[in-house]
Amino acid sequence: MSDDYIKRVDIQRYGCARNVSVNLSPIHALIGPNDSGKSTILRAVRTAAQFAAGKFEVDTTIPFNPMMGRDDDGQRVALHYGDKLAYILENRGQGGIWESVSEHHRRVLADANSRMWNVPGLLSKPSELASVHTLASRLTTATMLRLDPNALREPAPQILSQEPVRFSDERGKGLASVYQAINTRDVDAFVALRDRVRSLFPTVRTLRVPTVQNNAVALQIELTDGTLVPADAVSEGLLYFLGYAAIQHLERTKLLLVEEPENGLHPARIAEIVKILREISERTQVIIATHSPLVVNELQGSEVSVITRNAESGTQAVLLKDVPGFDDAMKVYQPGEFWVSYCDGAQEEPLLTGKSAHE
Amino acid sequence: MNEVGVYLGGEGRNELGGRAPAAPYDDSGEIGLIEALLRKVQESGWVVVGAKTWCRIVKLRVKPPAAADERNVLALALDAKRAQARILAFVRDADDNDQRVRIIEAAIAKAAQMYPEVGIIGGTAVPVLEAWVLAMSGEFRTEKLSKAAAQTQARVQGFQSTDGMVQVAQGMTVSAIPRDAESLNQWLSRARETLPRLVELQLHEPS
Repeated sequence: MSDDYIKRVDIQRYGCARNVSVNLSPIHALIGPNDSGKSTILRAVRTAAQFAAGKFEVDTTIPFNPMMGRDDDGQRVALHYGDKLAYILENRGQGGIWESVSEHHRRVLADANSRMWNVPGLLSKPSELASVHTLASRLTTATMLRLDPNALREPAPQILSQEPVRFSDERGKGLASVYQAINTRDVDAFVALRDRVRSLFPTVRTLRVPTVQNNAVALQIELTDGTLVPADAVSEGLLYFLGYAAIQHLERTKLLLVEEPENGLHPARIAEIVKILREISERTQVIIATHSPLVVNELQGSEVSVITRNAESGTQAVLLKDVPGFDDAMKVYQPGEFWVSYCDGAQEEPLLTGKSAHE
Repeated sequence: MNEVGVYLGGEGRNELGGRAPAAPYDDSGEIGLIEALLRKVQESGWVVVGAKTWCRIVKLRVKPPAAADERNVLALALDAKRAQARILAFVRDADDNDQRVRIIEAAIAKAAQMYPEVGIIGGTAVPVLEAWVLAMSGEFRTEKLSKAAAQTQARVQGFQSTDGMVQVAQGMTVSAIPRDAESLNQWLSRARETLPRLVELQLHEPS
């Protein structure tokens, strides 16, 4: 993926992330105790990406939006693509929300009390500046996913030939129309997807996407014995797999943020999902928040950050490969096993200090 | 600390006493067989700094490694190193599995190479820990027994409990152990080669 990804994100005063730097890789996982700030880091990155796309709305599913409506300034999210290429978002309180690219270009987006706007930002208008043009192609397409089987199984309006192929929301709503579009536009890709499903779910013969009421389409599974299984009876595991498998065929996104990809999956299927995400990461940066050591087993130490939080310093991040004893441990454990062997669910002290865990 | 740190590994309460996490409510300080045997070799100059049961060694792979026992020995040695123990002392039941005996012997050699700072007193109890206790009480040909037979005999003789096993170990004379109890004699030999030497070394190290 060369330089086409965020190498580091710096976050100040965004939710529980008081002052944290997180080094990233083309595929990267955030692990750590509950409430350590993993999701906050993902949301900070998403907030910056949404501003970059020129459209930002308060997400009512999130109980608070720390970037909005605060009188105090100093909130800052900086996405570093290289030494000299960065997108920076700053809340200057009464001075408004500012975005800048490599410190050479600044423009006020809106005042800090705005709660919704759709104003073209720095990256959403054509620019003669090479740095702006470069970042626009990388940052203005970002997708966050937290797949929900109830959303995945819903019927959805057909995606027309000129429309982009994408989910309707971060829960995966619109899965049926995504498969309808893939089948229409690229039969070979649809067949490859079908074959991949069949290799892991041997009772499946094929996928169908029949039209139902009001010109909507719905997902249907045909089993090897000819039984047709409607979407509301399809297993959650298969739905999750269909959701992840479809990502490669969505409108090209350069940044994919995924919460807990292990949800609803049998342990033996998790490696396959991470394999799919790794394939995606060849063209799209994938940042994952996970609680699953089986996900971490599929990654390298440089692709995992341990996120912890304490009262004094707030949220902090350390690459797994940099914790004491990592190289020694890799002679015995896979990365996820190593994490579980020495984590404590609080400050991860045995893991981060290189000491023994208490029995 | 002038005492040598020892890290214990075993299958459960019989080997580890109250340090086996299956009974976390037990704060009586009950010792297990491993500690009792080590005390027979070297009464003082060492202290237990940690312990782990075999089943608590993290194994989180959908397809386990071919040599799982080797991996477990290495994991214990790593734990001992992280606990700053100078010695890892462990025992694993052979469970009528000759291959396990060979794998664990090879693993001990590998662990000694990978972690030279940790002295390893380890081995397999052939066919099972109860056979060791029978040998300590003077029984011959204990390694010819099946696992089930050894456990039955131990129960009949009244020392299948942890406390019973420890009492046998505490009351035995090491030199009186039958020579055909090879796995027990080998383990004790390793203990005699390792424990007094490291205790002596520790005594002369600056605090």
